[in-house]
Amino acid sequence: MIEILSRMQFAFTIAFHFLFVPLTVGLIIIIVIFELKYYFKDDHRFRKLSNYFSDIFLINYAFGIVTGIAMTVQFGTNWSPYTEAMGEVFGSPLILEVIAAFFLESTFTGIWLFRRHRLSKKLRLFTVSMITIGTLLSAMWIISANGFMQHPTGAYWDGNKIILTDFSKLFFNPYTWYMYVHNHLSAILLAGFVVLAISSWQLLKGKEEDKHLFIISAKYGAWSILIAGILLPITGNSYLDYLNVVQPDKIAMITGLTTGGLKTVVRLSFGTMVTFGTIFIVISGYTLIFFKKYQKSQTLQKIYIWLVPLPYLAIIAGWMVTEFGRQPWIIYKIMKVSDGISIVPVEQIWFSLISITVLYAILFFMDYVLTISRIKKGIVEPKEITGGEDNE
Amino acid sequence: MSSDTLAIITYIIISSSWVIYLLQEMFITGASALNMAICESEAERKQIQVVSGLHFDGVEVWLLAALTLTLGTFPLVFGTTFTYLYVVFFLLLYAIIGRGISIEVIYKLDSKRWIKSMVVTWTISSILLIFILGVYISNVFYGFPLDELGMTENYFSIFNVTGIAGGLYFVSLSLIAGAGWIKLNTEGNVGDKAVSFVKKYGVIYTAPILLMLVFMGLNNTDSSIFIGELFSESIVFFIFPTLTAIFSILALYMGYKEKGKEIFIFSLLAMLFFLVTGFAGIYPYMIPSNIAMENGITIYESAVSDKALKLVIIIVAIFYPIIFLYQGWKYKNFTTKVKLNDE
Repeated sequence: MIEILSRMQFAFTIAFHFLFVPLTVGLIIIIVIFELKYYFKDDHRFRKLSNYFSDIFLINYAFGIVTGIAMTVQFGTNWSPYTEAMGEVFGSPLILEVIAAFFLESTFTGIWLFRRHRLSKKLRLFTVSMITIGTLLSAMWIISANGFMQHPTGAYWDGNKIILTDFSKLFFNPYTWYMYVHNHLSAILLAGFVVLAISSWQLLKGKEEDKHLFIISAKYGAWSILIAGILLPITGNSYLDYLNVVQPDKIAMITGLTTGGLKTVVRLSFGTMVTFGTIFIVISGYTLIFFKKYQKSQTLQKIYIWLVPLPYLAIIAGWMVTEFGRQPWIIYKIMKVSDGISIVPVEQIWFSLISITVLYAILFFMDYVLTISRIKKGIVEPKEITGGEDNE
Repeated sequence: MSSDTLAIITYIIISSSWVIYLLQEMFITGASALNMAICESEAERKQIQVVSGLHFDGVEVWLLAALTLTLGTFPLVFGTTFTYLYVVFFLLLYAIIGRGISIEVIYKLDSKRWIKSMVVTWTISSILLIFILGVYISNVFYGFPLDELGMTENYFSIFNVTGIAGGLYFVSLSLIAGAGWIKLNTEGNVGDKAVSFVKKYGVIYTAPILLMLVFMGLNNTDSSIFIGELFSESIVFFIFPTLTAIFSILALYMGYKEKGKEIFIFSLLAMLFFLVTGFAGIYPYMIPSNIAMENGITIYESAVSDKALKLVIIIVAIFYPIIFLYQGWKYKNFTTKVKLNDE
């Protein structure tokens, strides 16, 4: 029972956390492009777009960062045998994520949230760039922790715990880099989709005077989807070739050679991801080729709004392939998930599982309401600089 | 370098991360916790939101740094503490989530009910956050009920008199520091109101009394930090608890005189020396036992391999100075007096 509850809790909390992460890590890249345009071309349209999408970024960033802390806590509360055995190796990417990335992200996000409108053009670009570098690095470190779980390198198992032998092998683990590139591209695709959908909503129902801005952002959104959408299967293919060598079991699940239970889920998830990926390329390609038509077609604009859940589902499906595919291992071929579970009174896990589910339901509702209401407000030019925060 | 030296350096890094975190958290959270008591208008509340919200994101990461450093270098300590304090750490997590979300979204919707509920969440989670941290840290100094086989009681045992007094001591110091921080960084009346609030409602008087309770509690166990390795080796170490008491009293005195800058400085110094007292006192234990000293888990037995410790020390040596640099830059350039909206 303890094992099932702890697994459910971790799966739930990490999936919930991952609703916010891909949007923010992808969106900040689009925002930094807007800021670059503003900086070099002095084009205020891009400043307005950057401010608008930054507000949406910041709402989701707030939810993303606090729900991420839940994982750190659970490594101790629910997975202490795992942490005690693996801390030496698993710990260093986590430490690097915090020290070499989170600090940067968070420090500059504070400035972006509260003091954006009193920054010079140069400082704006600097602040957004620091946040972007922070998110790129933090994704890299956390994925290298996951990469180690998928394909342990740079360490050996002494029977009780893992011992670090070579940090560069840990860092240059090919598994990590395949995942990192694939994952980041999918985040850019998702963010592009959200930008396209928001722009479509604005073209449908937004203020008339701002529509020329959202035509620009729609184009940027569609390009993000198309570029990421084409690169994803290319990187995915070499990722699969590599998996053939290091995780043949996973390949067997994907191809349907082994079936039943989670193995079937892996195959179905893979199929879902690939199908959706194809749809994204078609949609974005069509939009860009017939862009004039898109600007006028309310049907197309409505379709994009309704399809927003698809990239989220595709990403979750991708992660299900990755994580279910390595079962029953927590560290591939070294430690089983069932050996990593903390033995704590079961009522305590019930307490945390129920309370966190309720809390997250409230958070989800809040994020939804806030994001939608900010989207609908449209472009807001900064009023006179006042004492309060610098966003809407 | 020997294994022991590496472990000691890492222990100092982790303790320092806690210190850096708590020193900042206390005034950020203290300022937040005061908002309902002193703000008469939303414009005033926005001033407090800015003086604490601007820095809270960057400050929070120091807590994560302390925790992940413990995970990566003393995994046994991390695992043991978190499983034992399962419920407590989830409550701490909820306080962090509540505070982190509310501070950023208070004014995102125009509805009065929304603002009100976010303000209440912000206040309660701030107080809860600093209280739980105080209970936890005081218990680390007090020791856990560890016998040869493991913990003998459940998580509820940390809510002992010493732990609760420690929690309240943290709340008291953070309200004082928060009042000083508001006074230093805002224009208008809100700063004066904050400083006179901590005087009028007796917050300043509670700090020295609670500190005395905590020290009495710490002194009372068989493995008290005051008879620990360092304190019994040299009487010089008693300068730390003495300074803690002196600064707590000075914070009281300056609070009585309603001096903003002084209460800010003295409450921070009181917290600093309280933490130094504790972290020096428990050495060489990371989880001291209050049943019998030898049952505690030491730095040496829980540390990971030398290679991994070296790696972490190098990471810290490279990145901490850079972090100090940009966080210092931020404090210097963005800590200007926050105006009232309607000026």
